[in-house]
Amino acid sequence: MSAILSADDLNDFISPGVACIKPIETLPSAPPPPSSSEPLEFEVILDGQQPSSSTSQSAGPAQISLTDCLACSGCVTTAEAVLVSLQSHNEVVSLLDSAPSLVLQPDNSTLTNLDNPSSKLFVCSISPQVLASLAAAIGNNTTQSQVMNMITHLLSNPDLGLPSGGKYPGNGFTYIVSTNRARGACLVLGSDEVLSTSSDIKKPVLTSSCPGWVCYAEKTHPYVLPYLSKVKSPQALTGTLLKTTLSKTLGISPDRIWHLSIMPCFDKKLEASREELTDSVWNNSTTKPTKGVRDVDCVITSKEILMLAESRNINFFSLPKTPLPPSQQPPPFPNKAIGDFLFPPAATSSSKRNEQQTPSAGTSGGNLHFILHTLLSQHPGSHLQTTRGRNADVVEYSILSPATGETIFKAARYYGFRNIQNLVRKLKPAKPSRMPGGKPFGSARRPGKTAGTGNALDFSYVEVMACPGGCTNGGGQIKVDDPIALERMGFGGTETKPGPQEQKAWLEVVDEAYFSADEAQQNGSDTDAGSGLIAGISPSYIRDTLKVWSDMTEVPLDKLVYTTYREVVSDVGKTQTDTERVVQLAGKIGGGW
Amino acid sequence: MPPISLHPLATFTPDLYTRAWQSTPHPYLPLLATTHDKTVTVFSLVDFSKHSSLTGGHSRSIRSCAWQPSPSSSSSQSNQSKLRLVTGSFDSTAGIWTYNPSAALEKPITTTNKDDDGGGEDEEEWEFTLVLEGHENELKSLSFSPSGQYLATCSRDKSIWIWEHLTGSEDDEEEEEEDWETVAVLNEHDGDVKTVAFAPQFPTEKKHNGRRYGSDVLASGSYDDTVRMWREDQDGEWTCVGVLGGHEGTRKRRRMGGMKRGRGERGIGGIGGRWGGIPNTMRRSLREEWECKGELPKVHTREIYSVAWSGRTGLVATGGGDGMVVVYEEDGETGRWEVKARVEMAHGPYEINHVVWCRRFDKGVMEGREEEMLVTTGDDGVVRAWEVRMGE
Repeated sequence: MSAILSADDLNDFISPGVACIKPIETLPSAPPPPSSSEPLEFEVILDGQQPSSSTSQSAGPAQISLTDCLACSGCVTTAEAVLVSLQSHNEVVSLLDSAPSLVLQPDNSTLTNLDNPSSKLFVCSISPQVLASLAAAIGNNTTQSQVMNMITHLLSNPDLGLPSGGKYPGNGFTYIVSTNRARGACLVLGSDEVLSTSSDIKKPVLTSSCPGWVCYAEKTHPYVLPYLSKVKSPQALTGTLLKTTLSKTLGISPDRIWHLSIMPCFDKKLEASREELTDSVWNNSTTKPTKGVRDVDCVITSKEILMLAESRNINFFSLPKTPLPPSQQPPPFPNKAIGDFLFPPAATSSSKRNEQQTPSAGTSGGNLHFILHTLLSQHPGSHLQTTRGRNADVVEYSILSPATGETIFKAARYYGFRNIQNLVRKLKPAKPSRMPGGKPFGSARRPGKTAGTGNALDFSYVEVMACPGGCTNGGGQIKVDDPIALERMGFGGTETKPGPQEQKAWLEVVDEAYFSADEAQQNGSDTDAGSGLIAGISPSYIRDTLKVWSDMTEVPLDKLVYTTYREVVSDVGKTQTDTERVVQLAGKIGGGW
Repeated sequence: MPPISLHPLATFTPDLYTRAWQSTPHPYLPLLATTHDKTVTVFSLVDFSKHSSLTGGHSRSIRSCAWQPSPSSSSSQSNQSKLRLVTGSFDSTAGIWTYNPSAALEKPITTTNKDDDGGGEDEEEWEFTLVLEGHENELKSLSFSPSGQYLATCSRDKSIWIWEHLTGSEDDEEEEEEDWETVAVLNEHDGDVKTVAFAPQFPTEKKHNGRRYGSDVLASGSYDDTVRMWREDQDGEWTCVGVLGGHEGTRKRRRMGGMKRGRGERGIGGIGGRWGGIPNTMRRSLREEWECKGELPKVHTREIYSVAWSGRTGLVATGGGDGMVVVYEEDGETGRWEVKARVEMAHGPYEINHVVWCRRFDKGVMEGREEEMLVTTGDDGVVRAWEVRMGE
């Protein structure tokens, strides 16, 4: 047992541990008591009580919300489960049971139940890795779109899904969208960012769509923050897209829209609670200084979808794999251009679908892949050289010019914690030596050499992900030791815990489900300079759609698509500041006098 | 079997004045590094006097240190690669120190320089070249693989990190790039990892179900009452290949002695137990099964802090909170372990933090002979050398 943790600490209630990283906030002092009662000259105080007229405030119970939590392990670890459980399938069910939902009428502009202040419009977004994980668990060559249909039935079908029961039967989700749509926009914005010639962009640009990586960087390596890409993640962008568009077109405030996102990892729950990803960034029509309505209200993981179904006694695996019947489909999306972007009609050309990616893109959205292909199309005849690094999660890419063989662009992929260590070490600025005599040394350089530069790191872009193997191996995915997976792979029986080999085999099955395409999506990954397609995406279409979006919501585009990061400074172990001393004194009887 | 007795041979000078934690002999040079407070003092094994010291690199106490074995692993090659010591500190970092190659290794005894005397001379000898950061909190122990290529560090944060020393060309006299990379972060322990130790050189790699595993074996002991064995597979991934559970009388703290190879077996010293290894090839992934081959008789009255197993003589020594040093030997015929020698109050009333077997380089050794002595490190800040005499 470590010195900080004792058996007494192990309960399900949050007590800020000794090493809590949340800085102490000073609350504004309470207003003085109304002077209607004559101030008493003398007051009898029992030992241990506070005088009633004292302006001191006994500190309220320490509260840590999910917004503050970075899973830094400063708090008692058993209580982390409590924090994360605030966003769970239970919350989904209790929200559905709290009030009749807002229902959009077929004219797609009128809402029923609008006068009930608790009524909300439910929308959902799903990431493709979740679909792949469930498809692998179901087996029988189930495809992603079939799983998408099953989830749609779960969330919207009034006979078979969640709306069939609960306190308000009929309460269900109106719009269910894949995050692939917003992902296309993130890819285009990301490549514009790294290829921009502006001097504001620090190279190497690092992918920022992985919240595990971002939280770790903010907490432990803040010198890396200027390098992070400012483009939002697909989850965040989908949230902004849905909330801005629906609130504008339907004339409701964003807190009347409840956005659930289904993601392959738990860190996405932390991302959803970020203050930077709320309507306070883009909502110019709100006057009260609220904390901001989140763009994503709740995140659940692949495993929790199954638990959600179970909680209403629905067998997920028996849900239909076909789309909802026309009678149960929601009205068309209130804005046509955005609606076409989010829900491409079946007849849309593959350029507008951009659903499937090739294995070379990886399973985390393919940011790097898209940038490389953009460059390849900009430099006809150039070719791509791939070099594997010290392990499977480190790969280096170079684009070489056809004529001279010179390197036009260097980039890399770094997945996994141990590889991230090596990356951040190379980016660390030199600091003066602690030895007397002050010989400076960088973390990887001999004294005297310039640190932080040099031939060790000349990449322009690095795709960084916290999970080895990419997002299909995320923390919230169905893992190989789950009974469903064991059964699917035939690992059950006398074998004890599946080992690393079995985990790799399972991940291959999930990846296969992730990359496999239906006939309709076959050509989705071509790069064709003639048709303007890059990796199956049409940047011009994306840019047009973004412009429509910005015009329609009357918000400048950079407020919609970019975000910021902040260093987390811990107060642990630091000597008391004056403010803290005052707070502590104020809490004493008599105010310290 | 002949009786064994321990006799005080020498006391390393000067006294260190603060609790000393661990003494590590160099693989082949006559040097011993002792950690105490935030410093490491290097002693000469020829005359038991202070050789040099390492100061100023850490902000909290240094608990462990390890010499980097040189790749050519031959005692006469010391000119070619630099002398390196790695320190593990409670400030959560490991420091890499390089000895200034222009200074001679055999120094005459100089008048004692206190550390705060400008420290000019000491600074030139040991250069603090690199900090390995990454662990969240106190570093407990570190160990080099036999070739010096890998360094393992472990910490209260329950993880073990493996670092690789990347060298440019060794022939380049000019600047040897001090480049270390994180190779693995192993999180499978459920508690504070107290100690790590690489096994001494084994010539064989392992093959299992078509996968190859490297010959380096790492053992780690943790507060979760398990000892885990780790190997590197052909993809460069370090995986856990064996778990040794607790045994009767398991205490929460596990300190591991060195790994020893002898008679075709591998073993690890643990508190009150010794384990022999028999690999089991029946599993899909490589899973070695270790079987407890013997237990040391209970002699200590308080916690055992350190275990050392000599690769040369096969003797096991333990030291602990009761201030006793005990030496055990395995009976060749019965396989049972017996107490052969014991010294009480070896450091007076003080606790003994560390014991280690060490080759003798002092003048008492006859020409051409290789003998071993036992070095004990205590809370009294004193490092003592003990001679082992066989027979009466």
